Amino acid sequence: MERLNKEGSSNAWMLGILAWLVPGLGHVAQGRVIKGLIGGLAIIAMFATGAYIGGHIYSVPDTSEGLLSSLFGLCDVGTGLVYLAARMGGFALSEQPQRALSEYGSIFIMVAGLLNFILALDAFDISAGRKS
Amino acid sequence: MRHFTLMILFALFVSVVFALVGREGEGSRLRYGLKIFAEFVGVGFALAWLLYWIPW
Repeated sequence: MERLNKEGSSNAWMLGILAWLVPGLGHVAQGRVIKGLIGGLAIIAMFATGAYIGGHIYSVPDTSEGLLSSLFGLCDVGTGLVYLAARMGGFALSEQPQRALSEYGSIFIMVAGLLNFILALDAFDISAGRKS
Repeated sequence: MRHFTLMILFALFVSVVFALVGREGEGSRLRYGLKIFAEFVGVGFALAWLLYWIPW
């Protein structure tokens, strides 16, 4: 029984990490395909909208704009591989203050990351049996 | 893109995820999502109206 609990717990952690890395994939892996697809698409669309209107991603260790930059970076990291792809591909990296809506864009990207944290926690809770 | 469009998009994305996570069952999710969406837009309008009267 204890072994089963440990297996269930490690599965929940794996699923939670998977859900964090790819928005919606945790629910898809649980068989909740529609829920995962809609949630994942909403988060990716929010990130893309933010980048489209001039928002940029922050880096966690970079405190050039003050300590809040690190906090913003933690929010951005919530989008998992989307964040990593943007960082490695040089996409939405630089600030564009000349664009009127660029600050809103950065907020969109941060909130997309926070929403994915919530979605990943939901997948974790379902897998751990805390939620049906 | 206008500020209003952005507010609508923001409310849409957030309410979709909140509805998925916060309720079970299609009908319940739809009602909850619409309620959150309306609240976001309503509070947005209310704040915009209030800020309009503040002179600075």
